[in-house]
Amino acid sequence: MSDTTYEGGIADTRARQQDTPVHLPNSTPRPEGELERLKQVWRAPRGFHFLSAVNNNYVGVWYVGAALLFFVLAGALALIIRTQLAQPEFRLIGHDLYNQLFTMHGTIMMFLFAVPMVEAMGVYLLPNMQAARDLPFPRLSAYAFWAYFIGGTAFFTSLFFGLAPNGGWFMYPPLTSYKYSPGINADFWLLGIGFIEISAIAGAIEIIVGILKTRAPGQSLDKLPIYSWAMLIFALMIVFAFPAIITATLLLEIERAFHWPFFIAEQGGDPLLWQHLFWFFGHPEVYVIFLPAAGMVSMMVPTMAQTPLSGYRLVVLAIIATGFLSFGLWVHHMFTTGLPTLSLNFFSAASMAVAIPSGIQVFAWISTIASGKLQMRTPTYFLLGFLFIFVLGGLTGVMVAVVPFDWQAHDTYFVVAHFHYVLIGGMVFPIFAAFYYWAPTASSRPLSETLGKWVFWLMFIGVNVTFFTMHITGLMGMPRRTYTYIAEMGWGTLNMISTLGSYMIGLGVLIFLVDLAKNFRPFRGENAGNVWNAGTLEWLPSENYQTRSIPIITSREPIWDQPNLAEDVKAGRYFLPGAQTGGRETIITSPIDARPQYILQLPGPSWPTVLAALFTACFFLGLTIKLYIPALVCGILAIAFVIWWLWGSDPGPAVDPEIDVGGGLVLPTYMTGSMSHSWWAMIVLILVTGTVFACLIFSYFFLWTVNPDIWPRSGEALPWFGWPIGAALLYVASSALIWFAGRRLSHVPERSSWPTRIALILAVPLILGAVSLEVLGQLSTEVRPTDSGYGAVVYMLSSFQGFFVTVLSVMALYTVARSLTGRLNRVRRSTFDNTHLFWHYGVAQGLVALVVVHIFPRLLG
Amino acid sequence: MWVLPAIIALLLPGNALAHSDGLPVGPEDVWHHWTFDPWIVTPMVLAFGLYARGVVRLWASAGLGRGISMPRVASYAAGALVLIVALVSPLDALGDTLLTAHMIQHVLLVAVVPPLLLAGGPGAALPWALPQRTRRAMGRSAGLRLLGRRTAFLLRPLPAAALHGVAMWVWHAPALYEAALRNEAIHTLEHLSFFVTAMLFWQSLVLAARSTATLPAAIAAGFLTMLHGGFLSVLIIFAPRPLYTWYGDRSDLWGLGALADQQLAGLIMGVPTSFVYLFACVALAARFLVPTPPYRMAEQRSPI
Repeated sequence: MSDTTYEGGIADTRARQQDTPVHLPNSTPRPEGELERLKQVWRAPRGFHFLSAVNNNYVGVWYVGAALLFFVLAGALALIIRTQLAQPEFRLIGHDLYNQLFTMHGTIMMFLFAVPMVEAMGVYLLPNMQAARDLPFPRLSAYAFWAYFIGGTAFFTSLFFGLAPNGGWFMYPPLTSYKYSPGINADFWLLGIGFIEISAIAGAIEIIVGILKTRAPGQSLDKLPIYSWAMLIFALMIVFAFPAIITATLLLEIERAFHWPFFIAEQGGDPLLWQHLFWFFGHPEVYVIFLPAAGMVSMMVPTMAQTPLSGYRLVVLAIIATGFLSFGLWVHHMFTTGLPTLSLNFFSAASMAVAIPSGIQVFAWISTIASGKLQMRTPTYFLLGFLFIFVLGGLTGVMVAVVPFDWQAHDTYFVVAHFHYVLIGGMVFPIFAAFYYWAPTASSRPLSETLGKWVFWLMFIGVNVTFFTMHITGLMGMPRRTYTYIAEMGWGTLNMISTLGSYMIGLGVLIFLVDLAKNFRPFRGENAGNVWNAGTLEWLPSENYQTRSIPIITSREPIWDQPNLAEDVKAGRYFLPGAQTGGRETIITSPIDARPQYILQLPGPSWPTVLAALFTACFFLGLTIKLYIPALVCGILAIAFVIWWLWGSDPGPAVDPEIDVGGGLVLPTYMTGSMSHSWWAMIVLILVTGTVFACLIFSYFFLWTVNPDIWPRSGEALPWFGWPIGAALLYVASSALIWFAGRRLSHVPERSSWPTRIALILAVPLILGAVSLEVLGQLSTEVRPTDSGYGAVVYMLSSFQGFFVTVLSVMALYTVARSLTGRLNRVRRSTFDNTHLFWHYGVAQGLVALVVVHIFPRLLG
Repeated sequence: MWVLPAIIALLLPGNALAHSDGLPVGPEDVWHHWTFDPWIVTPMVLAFGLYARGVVRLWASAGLGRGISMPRVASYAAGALVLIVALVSPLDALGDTLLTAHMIQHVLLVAVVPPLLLAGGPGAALPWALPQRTRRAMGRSAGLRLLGRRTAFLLRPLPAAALHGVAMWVWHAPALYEAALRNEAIHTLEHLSFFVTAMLFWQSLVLAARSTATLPAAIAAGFLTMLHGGFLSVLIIFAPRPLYTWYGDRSDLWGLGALADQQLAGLIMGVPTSFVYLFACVALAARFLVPTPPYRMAEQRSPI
């Protein structure tokens, strides 16, 4: 334990309620066996079954470990690249392998390291910080982790077969379409990354619902740790940004596989469509990586300075504003694509605007450091290193936001230097600070201060030697993505310096791994404790069940402000000191003021989840290497395991439908409707699919603006109006049946549940019929998807809807199966509620598609 | 309210007075083209007059700056001024020549005027403006109350944003956009649907801001509006050819090519407007951070 004590601070920036002592809900001593029962319920499976663990303390640590593994692997690729470039005309590797290496380096760092790493830290830290026993969908995070880990590993091994993607990390068509990239290298990227993005979205849904619904009572939004705020915005950004890249990869993969010309200019497609979709994702991606890291910094700086964060409210608003702004700026990655000149000024100015929220955060950190007493420990070193490197990256960012400069520096090593400063400064240094800072919560021993300082200095000097030099190399004109250069260009010395610097970084990371091997000891059921004298909840004494009891929070730094908190929590004087339902459980709170609402019964270790992830990965891998039959088998197995896993996840009320969590607060053990965690998750899922759909609609209109001539002008090229009207009627009828089923369900068991079942079953052919009518209508015309961009996008909309409707049908039949086995009734109806929400959404989406496809061409005049 | 006369105006054939003769307006004679369409000016003056009367009577009874504060009245006045700029000033006539001018007009109508007017608290001023008898009669009227209940959902952020979004997208379909340029009645309908749905949308945000429970929906509505508006503007900015052929080469009068005019229009729709929604959302989110009283178990024995 640190001997420093917390003194004062800036009183006006925080909510301090020391004058209102919390009434402790439970009395001590606790009954015999309560703690043992709690331990037993949360015990991780032993031996080989260890892999089926789902709770966040395990999955989170594995997840971080896997992301670290990919960081090391991608770093090794970078070292090969740097060695190749160390001297002019060096012949270590050829150009094709070089192309694969830089594509894989960028892709892995972005998709397999940066995003998963920040998500992994969230999975690990958030329940700790909010004193929840676990995230609300532990099996979903396990699924996301295994899918990512297996898929990522398979993706990486493509390098050993010479099959790795080689089209650059942003995969611009036409280079990556079937004509110029006939091999399966590009498919590895499209299916591999598309699949990993789906896992990222699964994680984001988990994180959103976790932050909003599983908090310590009293931890209202104004007392939420900054990290939770940052992760909330991060996850929401994933929900809106990642569907764009999923849409883009889907379109490009379909173009490659079936020759639907979305991006082929001669056939009425447009390669710029890819760039729009890609950067609509890619720009927020920068902040998706940065915001969680900034959130971590906002947690670490106050602890290291032993004073609350300056300007809490401004920092939260800055995080929110950054999230919003990042969606308006994607075009600034496309300054050199021949955009209208006029637009550049606007986008340039808008790009500058993001400097304001970033600046607010930087000044808040500086002011916190200035107002406290900074302890120079290893995390502090990394934090200061972060500030230095990130600010330099920001400065070159301002330079490349100036359009004429960008035209000069574009595609040179200047840009390489810029984004490495931003990403290493903005993400890698905070993550290393976080490793050193939070390791004591997971490990029985903290990491070494001595080794840590070696790691810092090697990395800090290495980064600056490597990348500062690259600014100059770039200004001297060295282009990116070329595997060698001739001596006469005069770039040799600078490159050699960069290469030496990169080895220094590599050495630093190596020493970090040594430190981990020596000191990191997780899963021991004990941890090193509050070594930094931090104020937030993750530093409470905890085990696999997190805290013994769930505290009531009255401040942003409860450990600093609520006397005896750790002791009372550990003794079980707060809520839910045991395993009252007999299984794993946590308190669900209201999203804004964090009032307890009900007890969520959490699922435990599960093999079906792991197997579902394995077979999902095999399905995508099979598609990539064109083994369609095994892929199909794996796909079916994956769905079967998902259903098996889900079957146990709507348990209904516990044996005691209501439980006293302490102090007379009685909470139900089951909840439906808008208070329930599953309702929130479904809403977020609808936002995800809605964004995919919006991207498709955008693609439809975008291709029209580019090639209006291929759009049907009048009636004859469009299907007869009867087709869409028929489809619309079937959609509405299916929705009506689902609505009716819901009405009847409210009366079960007083009346027979057969009307509910019949309505659900009947809705399936209706909705399938709606999509079929739409497709038949299109087939009745001359238009085929391979003809033109128009045909491709119209059939794509139907195909997407077809996929959607298939999912809805499975959901309806699943709901019927729940009913037939007696698992669906008036009270226990979460399964039905989810189906019903998704169904009405799907119908609305289908109707919008019909309006766009059938009415818009008739409005072209 | 004043919306009614405007609707009636649309129903009367041949009554729509052209805001200009539909001919191109160049830089030299732009200041001669003011639009005095009685069907627009009358309800505007009526609404402003009612507000002014309400504020004067309220202040006379409660004291200067009470009930509705000075900054709120200033905001309303600014909104009124901008509305005049949008609908009466030469900007309106210029909309037939420059797509950009037309777009500025629309942006003012959907993103500038409504928040300014609503910040002035017109709902608080109106009762004071009406004669007491009318007010009482309105309060007692079961029909009005029923109408209020039936239309209440339109003042919830997400339905209001959806309605507003539909209006925004539908009118940009080339056939409809050009029909509005050709026919003054359709043009008024276009402006009316922009303005009325925007008023609903912004009013829904104002109402939602009153309770933290409704804030998430309001922020979502603002964000989604920003997002789909961004998509729409990107389509217009990046279109490689003029989408609205009606304009032809009219923009040449202002030294702007047709395509440049369209791009500028898209940019004005996309960039500054996004910042309006951004500010609105951040302002709404700030309400989450108002310190709340600590959780007390005694207040909560049951979860609902």
